[in-house]
Amino acid sequence: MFINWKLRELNLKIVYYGPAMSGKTTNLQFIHDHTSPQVRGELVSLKTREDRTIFFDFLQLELGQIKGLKPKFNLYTVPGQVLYAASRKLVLQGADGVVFVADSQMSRLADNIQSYRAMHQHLTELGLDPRRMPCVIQFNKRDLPVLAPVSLLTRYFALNGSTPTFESIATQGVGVFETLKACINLVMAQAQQQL
Amino acid sequence: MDKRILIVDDEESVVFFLGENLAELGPGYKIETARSGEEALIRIAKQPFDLVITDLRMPGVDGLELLQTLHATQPDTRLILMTAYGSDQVEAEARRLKVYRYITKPFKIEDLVDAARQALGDIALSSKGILILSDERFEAITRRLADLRAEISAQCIILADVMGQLITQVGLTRGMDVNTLISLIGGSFTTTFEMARCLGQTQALNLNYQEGDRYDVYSSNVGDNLFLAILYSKDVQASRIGTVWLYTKRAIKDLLEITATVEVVPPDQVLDNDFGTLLSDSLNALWGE
Repeated sequence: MFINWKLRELNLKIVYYGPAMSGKTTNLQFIHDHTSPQVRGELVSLKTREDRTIFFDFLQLELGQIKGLKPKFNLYTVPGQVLYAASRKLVLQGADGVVFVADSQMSRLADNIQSYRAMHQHLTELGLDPRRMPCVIQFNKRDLPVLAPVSLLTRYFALNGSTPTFESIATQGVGVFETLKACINLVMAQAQQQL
Repeated sequence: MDKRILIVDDEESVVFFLGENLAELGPGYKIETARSGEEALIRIAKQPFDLVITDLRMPGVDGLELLQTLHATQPDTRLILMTAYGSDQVEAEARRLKVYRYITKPFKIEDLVDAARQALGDIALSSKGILILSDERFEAITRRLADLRAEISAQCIILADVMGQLITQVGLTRGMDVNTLISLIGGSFTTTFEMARCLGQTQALNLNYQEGDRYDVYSSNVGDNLFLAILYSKDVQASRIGTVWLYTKRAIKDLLEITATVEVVPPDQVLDNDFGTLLSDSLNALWGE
């Protein structure tokens, strides 16, 4: 969290993390497409020829003044492909909150857990405490066949009930805004606690 | 790049114990130790640290002297002061020196590790006060400063709060370390305000002038919370002290009117539950419940 005193801006960085093709960019795309252009910037993406995110996607949202400060949300995705571990760590740097986008398909269970553990590892390496990082988990692709039940996903992620989870279908926008709002609320709650 | 922490204490066992426990912070931190204030100053002069954790009472250069030097020379370094001999005066001085955390011995080691982690930017939220300005007031202030600059032909004019935070600037500041400059000037005004309070004065206008071989620097407080710094480069424009003060006083009067109802509040009063609720309402208005 960073306050730009000159411009009266409260900057928050939220990173969408998760395994390859879990729907991180789709979340940002939906937010971009369904948010007034007065509030959001352009969706900036760096993609490979196969249309996969190579470094990160970036979307900025800017709200009007609240108590004299303009909240600005900087949303990033990390590239999911195994190859780009260094980029993922770099993008996580300075994050105020994380949305972990999991792929709900049964066949992706192991990928989800591997990615979740890698995220914790990166946070620790960056000197951040993963247990304190505001984090929301989104179980995406709930419209596909052969889904892992939410109870199974919860068990696999070893969630104890304190991490908010949302079921989503990012292609249709189901659960997209709810996830982001929950993450923002967690970030703000933590900031208040630490003042 | 690793974040660098310096632990300063004259007791070897304390230095060792703190170093061992701060290693829990993880691989991104480099921890060094010094057994005296003098040793700390030598290390700091060689390479700055991100965080200095020091004991208060040490023979020779004590913790407060060390922090005073750091405050003046390396304002970006975060500071944690540990003491078993706390007093109101020490606490007040720690506040003046913008010490990030003042920890009274005995303390739980987890609390110190947490304080170190937070100090190093896991939550990079400034603990300083927030000046609440509407866009209109901000623009009015910037316009008035631009007018003043035109009237006195200064190279640049900087408006900052006494906590050392830049509010706005007009003119050319290329090549200047503006943040360090305002931090130093801001520190001098803190003393002035304390002096005014000591004398029971409700209002004080403090005008300072420093003539140098490269720059002339004028500074003046604007009420209790703000100050102006006016710089002239000797290469470009010589300043005329009487004219500068005449126009600056007029500008200060206008700035005081513009900021008359502006309040300076600590961040916990801005980022409070109300802020959270209003933010949540804004997001709901944007995207629906």
